[in-house]
Amino acid sequence: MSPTTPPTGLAVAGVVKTYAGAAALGPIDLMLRPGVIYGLFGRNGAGKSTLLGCLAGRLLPDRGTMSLDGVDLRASEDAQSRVYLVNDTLPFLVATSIRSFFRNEERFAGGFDWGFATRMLMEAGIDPASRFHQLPLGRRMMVRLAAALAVPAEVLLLDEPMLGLDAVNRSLFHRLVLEAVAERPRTIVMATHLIDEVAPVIERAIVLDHGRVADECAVDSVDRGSLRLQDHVVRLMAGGVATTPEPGNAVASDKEG
Amino acid sequence: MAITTTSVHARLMRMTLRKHGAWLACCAVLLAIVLAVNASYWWQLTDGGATPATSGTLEGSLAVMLFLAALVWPCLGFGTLICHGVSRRTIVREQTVTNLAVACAAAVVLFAGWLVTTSLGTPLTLSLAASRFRYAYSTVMAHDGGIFRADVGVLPPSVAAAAPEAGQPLAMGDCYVFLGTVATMVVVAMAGQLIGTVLMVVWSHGHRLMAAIGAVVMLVAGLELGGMRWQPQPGDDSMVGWLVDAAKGGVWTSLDGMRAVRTVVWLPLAYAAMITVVAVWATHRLTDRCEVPPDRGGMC
Repeated sequence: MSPTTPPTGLAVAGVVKTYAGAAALGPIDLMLRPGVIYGLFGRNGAGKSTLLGCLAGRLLPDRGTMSLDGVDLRASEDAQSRVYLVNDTLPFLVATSIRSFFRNEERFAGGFDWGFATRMLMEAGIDPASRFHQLPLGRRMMVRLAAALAVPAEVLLLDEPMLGLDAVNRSLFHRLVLEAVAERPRTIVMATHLIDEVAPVIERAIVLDHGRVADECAVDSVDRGSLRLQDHVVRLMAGGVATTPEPGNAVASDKEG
Repeated sequence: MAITTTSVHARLMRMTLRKHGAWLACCAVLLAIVLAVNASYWWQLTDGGATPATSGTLEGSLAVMLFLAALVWPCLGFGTLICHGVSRRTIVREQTVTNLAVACAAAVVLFAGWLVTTSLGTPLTLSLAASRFRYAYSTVMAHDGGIFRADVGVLPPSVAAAAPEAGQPLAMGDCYVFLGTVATMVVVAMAGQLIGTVLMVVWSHGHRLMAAIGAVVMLVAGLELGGMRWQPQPGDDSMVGWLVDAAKGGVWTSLDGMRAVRTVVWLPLAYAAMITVVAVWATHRLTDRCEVPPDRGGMC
């Protein structure tokens, strides 16, 4: 890469976020590569949701920059609209049907894969003609995940995507994520506590501890033999030190947090 | 996957306008219901052989609705728009342009109604607070439902003679009335935008109770504003009274020993311009720092 070529992917540099003076995040330095599925792990309060909120433009970092393909996310509406976040709040005000929810997302996002979304709903046993608020929690989440995978976003941020999903739907979701990425590569970040379950789906793992990156590594490098990704992540979350650093990856050296 | 070819900015601006338009349509329906109820009251007045009815209800209702529509929109729309990648700059621009456009449209509707009913001498005459600008002078004679009623026609001849232009409508009088109405509507809309943005920021910080109380206070203030009850009383020599009336285009003066008010339409226009600048600046600053925390706003 020549020095003048902007980096591809989502770059986070020196991002710090505080709430009423209390540090919640950072400083964070990360490089999310295009077309890679990441798992984002950390204990409650480690800063996962705050990081995703900052990347999606919903929260404003106190310091630092975030750029997508070299374009500042805060300065460019074009870049920001290529990032899509699913979290525990709803992207509409009033109760709506699934179809009108999808149409709304299509208009904002500038495209929608209706075939994929419908197939995902059918496989999950959800009638596309249903009203969103009449569905149980797990099915509502499946509808939102179907919308997330169907919009033409290049960076998909999923905060607790398996919240309320039963085992069958979790398995279905993992399969469809892989299918969606195979059809159209995109960066996906899944923040979850179900480490073992997402291990077969994700390619890289990011571990946050006290608002800082404790490790960012390839899953294959730790999840082999008798070692499991979960053991590695849990050890880091408990204050351990990363032992599988890779050249070019961010590895926290300061464990004080 | 179908990807539209429009630019992102155009698409998001169009979607923002669409959402805002839907909200304004809801407000228009509510306004229509209020006016329908009032219309039945007006009909009873005229049907009963009463003297030609004059009502400022339309102006007051429109002003209140304009104020509330501009106030509520930031609270409703901000979260949803931010969650779909709309930038804060676009939100402020769209909001400002739409509120100004709606304020001007409301002024056109009011002025047209006033002009028609005044020109044709219909039984139902629409009154406008800005109708004072048709004349060079006016006096404060009475309050009828909070409406500034008297015009120069009630000045004693000796007083009117002291100012040759006092007894006749100004050549550009109707134009001044329109400009005065525009100024009033713009002030109302911009005040709503500013206060709504403040409430939005308070709400986004999790102070829902405070935001709710603030909204109620603003609702009452809006209704009071619609009733124009802050019209200074005759003989109010206080600085506040003088300033309030000056902002509405009235400058106290003495005409042949009698207190009168000289009407200057440029004063409310300048006031409206100042309010607009302040509101846009403050809205921009506040919106630029507003966040949508997870599971706190509940809107997006």
